[in-house]
Amino acid sequence: MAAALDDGCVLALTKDGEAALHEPGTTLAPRHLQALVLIDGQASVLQILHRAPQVPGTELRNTLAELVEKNFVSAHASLAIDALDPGDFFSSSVDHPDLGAAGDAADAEAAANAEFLHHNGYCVNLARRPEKPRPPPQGRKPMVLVIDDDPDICRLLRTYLKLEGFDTRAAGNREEILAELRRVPLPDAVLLDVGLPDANGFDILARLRQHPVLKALPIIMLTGEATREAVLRGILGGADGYITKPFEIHPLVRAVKAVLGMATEGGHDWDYSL
Amino acid sequence: MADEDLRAELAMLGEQYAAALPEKLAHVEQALQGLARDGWDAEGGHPAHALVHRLAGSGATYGFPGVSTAARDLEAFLRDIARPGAVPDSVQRERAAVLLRELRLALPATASRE
Repeated sequence: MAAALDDGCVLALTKDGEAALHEPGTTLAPRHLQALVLIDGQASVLQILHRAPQVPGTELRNTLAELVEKNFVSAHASLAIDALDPGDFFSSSVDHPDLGAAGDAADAEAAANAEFLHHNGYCVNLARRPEKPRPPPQGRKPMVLVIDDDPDICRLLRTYLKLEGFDTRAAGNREEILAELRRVPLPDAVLLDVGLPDANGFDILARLRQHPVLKALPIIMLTGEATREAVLRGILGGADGYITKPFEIHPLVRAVKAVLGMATEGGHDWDYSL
Repeated sequence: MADEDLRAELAMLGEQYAAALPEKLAHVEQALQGLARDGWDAEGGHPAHALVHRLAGSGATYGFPGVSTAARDLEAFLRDIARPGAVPDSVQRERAAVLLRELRLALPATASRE
């Protein structure tokens, strides 16, 4: 068991932690991904626990400790601000170490990220590889169902996925979704928008996860819902991936390949020749 | 369809998207006029919000990040002021008009801004 963390420790993502959230293909368990989403480099362990009241505290503590042990997260001793006299704290001068160019670069990156988040919310490109290899479809290309009511997004995704060796279908409302989920072959993966005219993607995710036949279908949420709460809802709801709009097309294709257990760089795991 | 055809189709999709942006913006403008006149529906929704949401989600993906950024600002503003059954007041209408102008300025040079 990983060593327990102090409640006051401030947690931050390491490079590996950032990669798990932003580069498709992580093998981390959903509970680990959920915990990573909660971490922002400012909140203490106790504050992080409060952000996810639906998760038992002991379980989340253990998960955070495991992430620290595996170097996805770094733990930093907190400054006990509550114990300081605010007057002293804010009026006394302090010497800052000279970080030079690295410090400037970090400042610039932080400013850029803040600006980006201001406009885009919580940006993630997250996709889990399956724990066990998924058998490739026999005698056909893998089928991706794109569920999105924006025809511009559907057209672009379908064309690009075809170029990458997939077959595609699309649905933009409840009726079309039901029709596509009843068609054979069943989709091998689903890209699922949240804001549909007559349906909510999170509800669809929940229904699919309860369905006896479709419950193991790889699903990537592809949505403009970019708040931390929305990302958590997707992960807790059983999504295999979560990508915020606007998205870049290449990472999205890598995410689809990742949730299908396909090679994401340098060639394919599957033989597409029919 | 051969790879070359698909690549050509991808290029064409990008051109079509850029060419259609002025029309999409005209739809947003009309929808905002409707919102100013009729107000939010009983659930606090309006087609204007959906139109801007789509632009925010697709612009940068098609290579126009400025469109996404400006549309996201307008979308966030509309989300903030949405009230079931309410009609936007003059300050809100003016702010929406400013954000719409910024969205128009974000259109690529290849797309007409008029």
